[in-house]
Amino acid sequence: MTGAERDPAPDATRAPAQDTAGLVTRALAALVDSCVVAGLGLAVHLGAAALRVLVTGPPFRLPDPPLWLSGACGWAIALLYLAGNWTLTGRTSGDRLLGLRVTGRSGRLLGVPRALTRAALCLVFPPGLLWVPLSRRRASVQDLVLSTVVRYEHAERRTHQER
Amino acid sequence: MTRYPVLHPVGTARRLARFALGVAAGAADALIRGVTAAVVERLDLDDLVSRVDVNRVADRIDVDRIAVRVDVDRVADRVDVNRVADRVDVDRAAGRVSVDLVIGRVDLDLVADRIDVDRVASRLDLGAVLARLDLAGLTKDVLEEIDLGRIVRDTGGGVAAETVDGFRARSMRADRTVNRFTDRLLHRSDGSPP
Repeated sequence: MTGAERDPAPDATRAPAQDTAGLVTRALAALVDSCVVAGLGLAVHLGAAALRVLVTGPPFRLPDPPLWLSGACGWAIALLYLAGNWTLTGRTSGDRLLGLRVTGRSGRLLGVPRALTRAALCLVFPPGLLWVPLSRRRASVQDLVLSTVVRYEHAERRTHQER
Repeated sequence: MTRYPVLHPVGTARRLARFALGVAAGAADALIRGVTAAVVERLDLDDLVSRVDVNRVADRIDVDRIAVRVDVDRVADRVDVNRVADRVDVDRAAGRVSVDLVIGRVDLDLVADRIDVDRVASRLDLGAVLARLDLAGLTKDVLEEIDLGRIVRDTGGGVAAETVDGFRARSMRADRTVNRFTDRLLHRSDGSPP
């Protein structure tokens, strides 16, 4: 039993377990997000090549950065993409497609520090997602650490209507 | 000395003969006229015409021989076509034509069989026809009329929404299956979705 389960949030908006997204849906959303991040990385790569053409002139050649730089850039792009989407709308592209929403346990959108920390934890420790089916409230390791919740959108709408 | 004319016997005879012939000719003319008038007056022309066998007369006429002797060009030259056309009342003639009757007697299948479609098609100048058509305007009008954009939007949006809904429903079912499995594995009965 986790700490969060021992100390559940007292407010009425606490998500019932059946409204919390499971492992398959979250994994599919993460897969979609990884594709989006790959696309963003490619766009950044092409943008860097175009910038170099503008500065140094032709020919147009794709930059060949060292591995650590590529990794760092990819990591930064993913971090900003996840944290930005969770802060602004609570939904990344994958979440939007699968009908998910990431909020705090109170139902509010995440703040910037919490969103950045959650994104970093997701990137550093993706297997944390595997804790979802083992948790009573279907929480991943990241959710347990940061007290966040991933809910189905229809459950989110129902909660708003009940309010 | 004065000369007196003497009657010449031959000349006198000649003059007398000429006088006699003149008198006889006049009498013969008067006689023929009188007889002819009397005959005509006594003849019943209707009776005479009714006795004529027209068919027999027609049989005895050699039409080919007459036709050979007719100079068609000369006849045609003497015909004033414009004058004939001016005297024809086309409206009256058209009014007497029964179009339904004409159409009913036309064998359309026979006409269609006789039409060489390939030949007709080969003589068509499609380029000229297309050049006279405002295809861009026509297409624009058609598209405006059927509002293709709205149909594409509605159809595409509907299909996409249905696909996404189905995808979400399947992933949710998969979540529940995984959750049930782990609950059973961990001997948990509460807190799990139904």
